[in-house]
Amino acid sequence: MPAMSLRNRDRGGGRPRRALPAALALALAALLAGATPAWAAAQPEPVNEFVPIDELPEEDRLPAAPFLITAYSIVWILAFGYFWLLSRRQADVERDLAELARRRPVPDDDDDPLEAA
Amino acid sequence: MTRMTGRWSIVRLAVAAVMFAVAPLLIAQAPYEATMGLVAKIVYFHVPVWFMMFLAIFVCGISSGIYLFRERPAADRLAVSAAELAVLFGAMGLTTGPLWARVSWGAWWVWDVRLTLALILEMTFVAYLLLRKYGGPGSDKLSAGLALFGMFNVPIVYVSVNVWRTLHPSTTVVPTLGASMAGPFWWCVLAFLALFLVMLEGRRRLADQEAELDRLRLAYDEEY
Repeated sequence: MPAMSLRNRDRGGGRPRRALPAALALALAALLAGATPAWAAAQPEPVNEFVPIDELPEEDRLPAAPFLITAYSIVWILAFGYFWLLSRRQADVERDLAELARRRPVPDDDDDPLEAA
Repeated sequence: MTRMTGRWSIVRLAVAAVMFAVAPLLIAQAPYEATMGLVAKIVYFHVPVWFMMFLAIFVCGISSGIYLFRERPAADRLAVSAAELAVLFGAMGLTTGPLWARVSWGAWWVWDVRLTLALILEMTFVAYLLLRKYGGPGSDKLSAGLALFGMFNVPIVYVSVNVWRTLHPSTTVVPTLGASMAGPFWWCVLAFLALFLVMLEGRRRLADQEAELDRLRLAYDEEY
């Protein structure tokens, strides 16, 4: 008897958990059923054939100026970027050469390779 | 000698600066292309940067050949410098092209022969630079071989538009440009050539200094 009551209690406890998704599904179905006519009415006509035209409508044409300006800008950004990179690398090498000259004792003769570099 | 080279670099830089300052005026006055309109004016930068990429590849390939067969380190340094410029100008071409294509063809990129071969050429020289940077000992000879391979691909890329069916305009477009378009176009080519020479000279000097630094470091390590 206690076992039976426990099982019954389980069933009773499970009922709200099953009822909730069912209620939500029902509400969603009702919502969709109510909304469908308006939603369907808003759809464009299906395309049954392609109609060729010679000229693209004005509103479909991409404005060319931003593309042109972007193209020219990219070339300049890359060119200046390369010059900047080159000058940074040059400064690094010159710093290393100076560092090496500082660590190395100055030779007596005039033809110091570090100066030539 | 170094001072003389530096002076020539400044002259070349000044020439390039003046030419690029005048270029927008010439481009603005040039007529529109009949079917593509305004966007076709990308041609004044797009084609010259490809010319410079091809020139850089030829410099790199010939210098690499000299390095491979005559073992001249100066030629190798020139090859590395030119390879870097090939990647730079290739990147310019590969970014300006899709901007033009988006308006003219309605697509940023199509896998047609010219575009695909140009991309492969760019990747070849990216591979060259990666090999030089991470390849370790012997990578100079390997990369020189790769540069020769890249150089022999240039004519194939160039004539690809005449041999295969492609969306890209053919090679007859530039020689048949009318005077009103040809003037600004060749002006821009010369301006990019001046810029290319300045960049190549600057990069080559950097390569010479790096080589000198390596030599001095070795000498220092042996001495102390």
